[in-house]
Amino acid sequence: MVCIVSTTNLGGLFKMRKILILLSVLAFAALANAQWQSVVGSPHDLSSTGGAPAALKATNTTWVCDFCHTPHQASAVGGQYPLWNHTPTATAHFGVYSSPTMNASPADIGVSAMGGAVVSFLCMSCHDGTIGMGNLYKQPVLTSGTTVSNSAALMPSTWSVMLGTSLTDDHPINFAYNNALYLADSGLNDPSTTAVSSLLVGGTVQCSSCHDVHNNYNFPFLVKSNASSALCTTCHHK
Amino acid sequence: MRKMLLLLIVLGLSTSLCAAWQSVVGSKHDLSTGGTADSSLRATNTTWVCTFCHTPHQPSSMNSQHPLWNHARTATATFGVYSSPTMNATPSDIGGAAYGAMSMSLLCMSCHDGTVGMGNVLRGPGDISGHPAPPPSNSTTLMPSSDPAYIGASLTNDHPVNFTYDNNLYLADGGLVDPASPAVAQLLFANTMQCSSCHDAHNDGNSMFLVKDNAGSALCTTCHHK
Repeated sequence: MVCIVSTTNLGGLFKMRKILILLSVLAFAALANAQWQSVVGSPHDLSSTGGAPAALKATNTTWVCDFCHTPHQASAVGGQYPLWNHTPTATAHFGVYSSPTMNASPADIGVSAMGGAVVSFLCMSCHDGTIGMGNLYKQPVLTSGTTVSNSAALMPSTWSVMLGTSLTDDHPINFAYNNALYLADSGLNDPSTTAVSSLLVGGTVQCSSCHDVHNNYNFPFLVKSNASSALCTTCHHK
Repeated sequence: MRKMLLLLIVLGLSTSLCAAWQSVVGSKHDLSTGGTADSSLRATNTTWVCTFCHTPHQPSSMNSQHPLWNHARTATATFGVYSSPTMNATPSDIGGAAYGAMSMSLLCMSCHDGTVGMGNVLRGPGDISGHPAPPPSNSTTLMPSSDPAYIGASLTNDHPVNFTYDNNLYLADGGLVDPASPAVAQLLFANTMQCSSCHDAHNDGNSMFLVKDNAGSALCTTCHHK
């Protein structure tokens, strides 16, 4: 940008500097926004206009949030925040990953009652493949029909995102990532650093440590870019 | 002044420890576009690094192996074992065992025996578009026999691996260091010697991915009383 400013017009010069500062602030804000892509239209959007595959989408509602949340009376039925609206899986035991070189002690996510369940249990409402995508407590206000059309549509087992009812073959979750673990495992980064602690939920690793279900800017719903495996190396000192 | 000197010494030591570490990202084990593996072996369509060996989800439904293993296994069933009239150890063949129960050294041979493509993975990385994500571009690229890291499908001409290094072996072989000593014990895996006894696949700080500096052959003499 080339600016020609009269030397006698100092007021104009200051104004120009203010505008430039404002422009750079806006540019930064735009960059930050570029890291965000709404759940609306994403593969987690199961409405008729969503980005989910056609076989899993509803054909009779354009409401998006309903597939997981309802503004009213969620907990009376499901006993679970955050205003949870999806029928929970009946899977009682998912198992946990084990390895002779692992120091963490993951706990099964399937034994808790809704409300006391770990946050990762909510993801399995769809991702264990046993509950219909649109199997909800409260139906969205529809243009036609009384229930969403995909209430019985199960996630196919051939999909890599269909984790199934076993977590024994997935990266461990639901374990405390604390200083004791850090000291025991020389391959981990210090959980007191902001980069690590910002990914933990109540000091534990959960699905949401790596995935932000509402933001698909970093496919597949990663909380940060994994270029050069930067997400993995946030925790793994490798 | 003495406190400052002490501080400097401490800092110097910690720096030298840090210097022995170099991330797998950007190393010769980095097969992504940003890696320093030979360009003929690298993928041209993914920047993900860990994906060539690990996947966060569902590796075992296909090959039931920790540590979250994502690379197609070698089909080599028999590698053979090193033998020598002066050796007291009794190494076992690393091939043929069921996935999940096998020697961890077999994982290394996913690439280093030269029979499986560098990018032949079970789950493609997320930055290649497609559903499910296709494998990286180097999925059929084999490690050539001319590569210095090429081991081939025979282990008869390599330092023995996959044998128990216990007190019996120590007593039988006058040339070994006591495996009860921490220096030796920390290199063993369930009392056995494996590829990873000498090599840390994730850390190239000592070059050749050695687990420690081999100046003065210090790595060799950790076990060999020579």
